[in-house]
Amino acid sequence: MEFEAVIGLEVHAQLKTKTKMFCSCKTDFKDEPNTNTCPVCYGLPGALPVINKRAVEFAIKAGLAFNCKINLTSVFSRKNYFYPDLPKGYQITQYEIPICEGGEVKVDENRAFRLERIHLEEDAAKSMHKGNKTLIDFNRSGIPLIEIVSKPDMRSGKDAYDYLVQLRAILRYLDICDGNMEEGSLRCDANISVRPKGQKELGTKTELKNLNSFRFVQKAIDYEIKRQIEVIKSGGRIVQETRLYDDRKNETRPMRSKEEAHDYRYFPEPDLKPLVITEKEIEEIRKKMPELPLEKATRFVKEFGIKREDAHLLTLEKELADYFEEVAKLSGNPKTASALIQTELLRELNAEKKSVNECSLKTETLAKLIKLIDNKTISMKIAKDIFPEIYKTNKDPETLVKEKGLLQITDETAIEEVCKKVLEANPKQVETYKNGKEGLFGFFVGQVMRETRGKANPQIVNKILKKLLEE
Amino acid sequence: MAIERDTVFHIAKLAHIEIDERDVEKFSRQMGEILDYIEQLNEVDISEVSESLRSIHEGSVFLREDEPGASLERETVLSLAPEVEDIFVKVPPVIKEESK
Repeated sequence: MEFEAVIGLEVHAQLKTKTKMFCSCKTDFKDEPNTNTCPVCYGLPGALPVINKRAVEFAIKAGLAFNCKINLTSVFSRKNYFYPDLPKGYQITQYEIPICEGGEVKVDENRAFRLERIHLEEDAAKSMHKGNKTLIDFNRSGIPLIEIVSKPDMRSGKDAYDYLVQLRAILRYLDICDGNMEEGSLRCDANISVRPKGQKELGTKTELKNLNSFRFVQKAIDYEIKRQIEVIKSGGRIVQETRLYDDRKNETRPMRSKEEAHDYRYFPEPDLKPLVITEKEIEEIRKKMPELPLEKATRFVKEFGIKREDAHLLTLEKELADYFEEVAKLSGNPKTASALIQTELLRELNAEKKSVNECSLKTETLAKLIKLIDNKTISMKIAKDIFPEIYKTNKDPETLVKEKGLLQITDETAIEEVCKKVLEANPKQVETYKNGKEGLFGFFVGQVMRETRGKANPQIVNKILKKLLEE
Repeated sequence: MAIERDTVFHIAKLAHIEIDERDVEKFSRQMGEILDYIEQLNEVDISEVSESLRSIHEGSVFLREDEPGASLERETVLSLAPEVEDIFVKVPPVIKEESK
């Protein structure tokens, strides 16, 4: 029997506001533990929540980016449960009427995963589990979150990965969440079930937690799908439970929590009237919406003639996209700009774990390097050879090339001399070549390049070698 | 009308209250009495009464600007907690992974 997996993701994104969702405590995660709390955070008697305007704006921004319906009236509710990271005994969230409904995350031109809803809520405190005790820092309690709930449209770990990559890119373009999974500003839970292919009803699901990178999400889901299919094939049944992913062992295990009763007894938050927004406010926000990653990628393909895959990669981070766009325009050669950025620049940046904003190589310098290739002053090979140095020093490429004596040799007489020398030194190969083994041509080119330390212009070398060998 | 035993246990569990088997019958009767008492409200004829009480869920909420204000001192916060370790609130362990 063939099986099909059904996957839905719940993503919690911490909003980049200065203050919490319902009080004016600061949200800076670098602050000392337990210094950003107040009676509202703890729900002390008499304390009243007041909604953060910017958090609402951010949620609307997300709703517009994902093409959701924005509800002009939405309602906050209390979700009641007993857990040490929630001193009030309830979380203020949106239940029956969320701020955004529907919508989709487009992962490329013709693939999208639908959304169920996006709602506003407050974060819980941070718990550190240490064997026989748990330590709690309440700074995080009350930080605004949007929870983005997908429909169960995904079928594999790869689907989930693609969804998350695009979702994160969009949240970062909107500048409403910094999308850092390791630091927990973006968190993902996955609901997974399997069913025989063709069956309509859903199987029993498990929920996966502790997924702190996109790759782990993908691997954990794929592991869990395999596990569930194996359980069913061997005659077992899936138990509805929460499982934790262990990245070292690449497996999932059931999690046992002391919170056994899941009965949240939602009711409308009595301390907050409905959240009402106007069409006019939405339009104001719509006007300020930035160009989003996929739109940018489409524009890059059209404007710069680069490949779609390249455009996708270059636009995942806004800063990198901006960097590319500048180099493309300054150099007048978008294709080489794209190639050098993706291979050389990203390799250097990744090695240093730096982002493109921290890059010391200026766009003007990289553009100059590309111009040197284009006007045949240096070959691509030389450009790649000197790249690490230029990356580190931001030194003018032309000066560097001159200092190192790396100017490309375009003088045909000079190249012809070297070519002749190479052919004279390898009479055997020349004979074999002339007897039909044309594959040896590359060998001669290589020898000429070695002689000239990569400086000979390859087109000219090809031309002259052909001529000499045919004589 | 007394409420069911299971409901009494469920409510106790949600509230993290331990209850004694001997008290269950008493609680189930008392909880039922409370509900019956509230139930009397449904007997009042309000068809002739015009709006005398507005729901808090009408109108719209006031929004606050995103400007930081003062928080409590950590000392104060920690003094409210039953148990403290260093600069953290300490509670019994909440996660137990099932050992393999």
